[in-house]
Amino acid sequence: MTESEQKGITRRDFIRRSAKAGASLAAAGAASYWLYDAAGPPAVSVEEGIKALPDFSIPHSEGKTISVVKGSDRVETVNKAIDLLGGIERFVKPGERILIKPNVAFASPPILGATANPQLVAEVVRLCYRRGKAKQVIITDNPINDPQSCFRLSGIGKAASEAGAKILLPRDGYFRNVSLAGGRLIKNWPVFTVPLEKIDKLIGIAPVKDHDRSGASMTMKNWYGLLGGRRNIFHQDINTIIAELAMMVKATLVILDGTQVMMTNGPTGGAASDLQRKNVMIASCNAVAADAYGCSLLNLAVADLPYLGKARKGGAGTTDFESLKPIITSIG
Amino acid sequence: MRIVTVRRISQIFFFVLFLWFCLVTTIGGEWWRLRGWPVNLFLQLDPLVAIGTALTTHSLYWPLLWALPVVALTIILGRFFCSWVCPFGSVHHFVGFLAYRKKNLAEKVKANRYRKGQCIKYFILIFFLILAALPLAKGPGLQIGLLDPISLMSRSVNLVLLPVIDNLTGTISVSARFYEGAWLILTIFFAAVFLNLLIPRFYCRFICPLGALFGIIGRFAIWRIGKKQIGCPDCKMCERACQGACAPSAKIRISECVLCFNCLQDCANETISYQTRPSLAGEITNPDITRRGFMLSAISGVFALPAIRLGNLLGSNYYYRLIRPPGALPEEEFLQRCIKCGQCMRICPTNVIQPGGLQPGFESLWTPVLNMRIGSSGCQLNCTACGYICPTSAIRPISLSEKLGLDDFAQAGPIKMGTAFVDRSRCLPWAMDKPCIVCQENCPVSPKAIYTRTSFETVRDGILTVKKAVGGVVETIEDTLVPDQFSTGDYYCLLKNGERRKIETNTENTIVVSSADSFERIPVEGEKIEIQIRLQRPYVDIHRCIGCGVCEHECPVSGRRAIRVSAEGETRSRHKSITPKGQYL
Amino acid sequence: MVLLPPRPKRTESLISLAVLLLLVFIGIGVFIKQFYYQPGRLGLEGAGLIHLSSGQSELTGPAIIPPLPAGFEKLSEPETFDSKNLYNKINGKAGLYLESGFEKLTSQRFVNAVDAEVWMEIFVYDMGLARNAFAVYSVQRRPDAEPLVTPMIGYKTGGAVFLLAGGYYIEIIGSAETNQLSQAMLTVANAFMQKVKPEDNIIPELQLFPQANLIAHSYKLNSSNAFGFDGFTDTFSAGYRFGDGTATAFISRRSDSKQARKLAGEYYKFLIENGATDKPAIARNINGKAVEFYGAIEVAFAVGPFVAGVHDAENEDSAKQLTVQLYEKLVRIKEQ
Repeated sequence: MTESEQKGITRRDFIRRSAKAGASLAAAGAASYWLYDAAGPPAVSVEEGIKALPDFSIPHSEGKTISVVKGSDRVETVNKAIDLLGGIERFVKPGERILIKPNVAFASPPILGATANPQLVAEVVRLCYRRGKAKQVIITDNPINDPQSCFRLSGIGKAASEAGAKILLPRDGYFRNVSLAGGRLIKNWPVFTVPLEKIDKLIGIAPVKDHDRSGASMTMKNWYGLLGGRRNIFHQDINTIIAELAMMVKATLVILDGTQVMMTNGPTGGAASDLQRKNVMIASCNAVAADAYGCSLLNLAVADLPYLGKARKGGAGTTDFESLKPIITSIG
Repeated sequence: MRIVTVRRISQIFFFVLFLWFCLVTTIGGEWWRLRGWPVNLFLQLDPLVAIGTALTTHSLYWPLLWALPVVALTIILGRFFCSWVCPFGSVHHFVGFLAYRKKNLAEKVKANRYRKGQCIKYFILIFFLILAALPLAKGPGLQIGLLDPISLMSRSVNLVLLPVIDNLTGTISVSARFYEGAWLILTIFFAAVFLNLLIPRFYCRFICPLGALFGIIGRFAIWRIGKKQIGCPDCKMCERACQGACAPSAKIRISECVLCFNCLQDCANETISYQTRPSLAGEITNPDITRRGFMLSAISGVFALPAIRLGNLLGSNYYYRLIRPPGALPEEEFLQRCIKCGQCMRICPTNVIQPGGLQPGFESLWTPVLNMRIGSSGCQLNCTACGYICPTSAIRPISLSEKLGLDDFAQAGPIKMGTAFVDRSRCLPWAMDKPCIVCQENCPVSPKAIYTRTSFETVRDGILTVKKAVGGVVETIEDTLVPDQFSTGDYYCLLKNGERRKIETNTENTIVVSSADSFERIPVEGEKIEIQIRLQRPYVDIHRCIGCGVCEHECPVSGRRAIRVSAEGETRSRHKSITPKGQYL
Repeated sequence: MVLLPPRPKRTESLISLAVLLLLVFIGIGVFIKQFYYQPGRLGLEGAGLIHLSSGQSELTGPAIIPPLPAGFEKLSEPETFDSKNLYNKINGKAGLYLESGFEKLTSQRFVNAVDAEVWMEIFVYDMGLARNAFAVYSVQRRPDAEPLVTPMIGYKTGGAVFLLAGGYYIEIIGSAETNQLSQAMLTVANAFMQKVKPEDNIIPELQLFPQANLIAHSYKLNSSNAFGFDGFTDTFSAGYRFGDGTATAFISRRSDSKQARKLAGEYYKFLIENGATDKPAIARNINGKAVEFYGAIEVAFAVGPFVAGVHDAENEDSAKQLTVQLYEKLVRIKEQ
């Protein structure tokens, strides 16, 4: 190799290296600039997350807000109750995705009445598909006990899937932080919101139960199953959390099953003697009104349930169900 | 002046500066205390800290911008930091020099030959970078602090060497400093140092991830060591004291060269130089990483963090005795920033911050954990030194107002590190019938977070039968009382009718109640009286307790304390709360 | 092509020196940096200081504290206290301020930039009205006080400066009795005075006292319980020297003359009940009461809405003289 060639190679090499060095320098400088953090990490922020869940309620129709049907057959009474409010077609439009949130809190057998009745849930699913022409019906809950056992032992899993519904079990990734506007407890709290993002209508199904802490567990308390995290903490202020749940969740329809009411030892019950047959099925466009009516089934007055008053004050609904002109009828 | 001389001066300069910074890291305004000394300078210059935290947090914390000039200089000049600045490197250099001083040329050259094992440090670096880059288990994790030389040296000096010297000579700090688990830190430090007796700069060549990083960054250095002319007689003098074991006599490995310039100095016929053209004997710029090695370290990195975190210590299985300093970020983010440098432990005026062990999880090793039983007082109420000093803001530099919940932070309330729980089975007034309210007295917040309720307990063998009673003096049938036992002012005499009076004094068989306030109804012969002790029993108000641990520190039940701080209720972690937020804070 | 020159020794030396220079610069930089720090930020407190009170009020005070004197730095941030938590700062002394119309206390510490042992704490008591400030100022006045140069109303003693500025009573307490600190404290005091208009410092009641034989700087205002008599609230007093004896004159404005006469009578009764002997001759011609009370003469009378008199006069002559002077002055003023 001649000396000039040698010098040429060296010069090329030098330029190449300088270019690479320059590029590295530029990259380092750019990265520093882009990532530069003059403030340092913040403390845990006080309020973040979603401010409200989607509103699944349907337009108000005078006299068609709450219906009460007395009868011993759940399938019959629930059909009648929904028909009195305009039929399932008023609530479910063809091609829609429906999410049904029944009470599947415990891994208890259906006869104990601690969870929603499987036949009732299945019937509502069938209604959505057959008459409502829904595209898909999803059943979900974030139970207290192990989810798989709950859906299996309560019978709801089998009944609902036989009716064509899809069972959705809770997973970590389905929860997002919610800070309810006007709420004191639901601040930065994980809520089971992801499944709600992709659906069109929300239906709640709950039995009427006595509850040690709150006095009663009906359609409003049913939404406790949408809370994540270590939600047991809220039992220290149970009435506020139930009220905030009612403020947060605006469902399309709630069904309150007072056919077999758990009168004592709620919310888990444990013996058939805890139940009393009252043969009442309530369908309502508003959970507060449903609970206000339903408390009479537990021999309680509206004033006996502080969460009703709090919810009313929070704008979640009215406890004066009379003003909503409930349609009361019986079958057989 | 020879370049090697300046290099030595530089090493000494930075080494002394490093030691000085370690020494002055205590609170105070005197020249030999903290003042404005930039004691975090070395950590801030360390690009591994900057890059590590940038990967985990996607941000460059502003003081770490100092790493940029170091990176820039390395890109241009090569791996100068290792032999000009790094204090740990200087230690290795010196010990290696001492170890091989008396050996002959052949032995020295053999010690400094390139070894394949020098690729291990790159694997270590890749492992750590993967851990930091990939959010594989509730976010990424920062473990560079384990082996980063500045962190390691900082830990070793601050938490072991200085306290040992101080505890022996009493010169450095006012009271003895204690650090748990220091033996492990010392073992690792001495191991690293003594390995130089085998191979000089063992740590730098085989282990140091910072050196590996510099090796990668410095690949394109404009100036590098190399042979500037042909005709090298291969005398191997250049490798006599070669620090990087980079084989300057043959094809020089640029990534290993630490620019000690010993070869330049030692070269007998001016062949070695520091030049821009590549070495005439050829050079290898890339580190010696095989693809297989790279894959192995990458895969280990991918699996390591999720495996470490399988214990769910970041979730519901959190270790409840893990109390972090006030201002610490929530645990996941904390573990993305803490480089285990030990500065917070060094500066804590009460010595309550300790290097963590493995019990709260592997990642807690050498991270700051509060042990209320060590030191002078739990976490001092109006001190924010740890946040002030933390180089990466794993502990935020909170203001006193934020810590105490004043002014702008009045709504948010004070920062709680946890909550104190009274152990009623060990507490003196609860379980031992002994009056004590040291915890309540020392609780520093106002209003106090510990309050008491008074109750009276009949003492053991405290039911006595009256023989005769006159005024406030009751003589008892039993005559085995210990004289003056009941004259402490805590004892009371209870009558059948419910009257209770404070006992002034007693003899073997008389009880004397205070004369100013004697019985309304004098007890009669044969009646039973009860000697009771008045106990104030402590309760913790969980809304006011900030978990500072002063109560735990002061509790006289000195082993397992009768009041202990537990992580529930710490403000940085909502999932450890025991009350719903929105309650009175 | 870039090559080092064939004689590397010179370049090497130059580069070596350059690096050496760089090290020197780094050293200097570090040395300079250590001067810059915020003592308050580190919780650095001077000797003998106590914890920051956690019972602070949410009120953030206006910037009443004047700027730092030269050579001093902030040692702590201003703290404010209102009537609810004043106790946390000054403990038992709070009572005195609270009963005199205390509104707010702002305090701050300054430390000498060079010597951390030399610092001062400034207490600015916002008493609302000048007379309230005067009350707390006058009852705490140290006897060995060296008055400040006018127009400042205040005094310095030992390592502290006390002054009045309109409705503010200001204490500047130093950590050591050094000239330098004293100077700095006076600078601060002056800065306060700049903020005060002369008329803010005038307390009208003081004009009521006769000037003859007045002991300088002896004015006092007791908000309550003057001379141990709880009826005497808001009572001004001043000291007088007559030849061989001293006496104190007092004046207190009541709501109307009926109340003033009533209070004078009550004071007389109070003294009699406590063992005084009647000495009618001294105050007869002014329709007042006089007694001898354990060796000292007490006189009480009313002029218009003012109850006034003499307290603790060492002999009858001084009592008589002062009574006459006081009475005549008050009558003159009433007639104006």
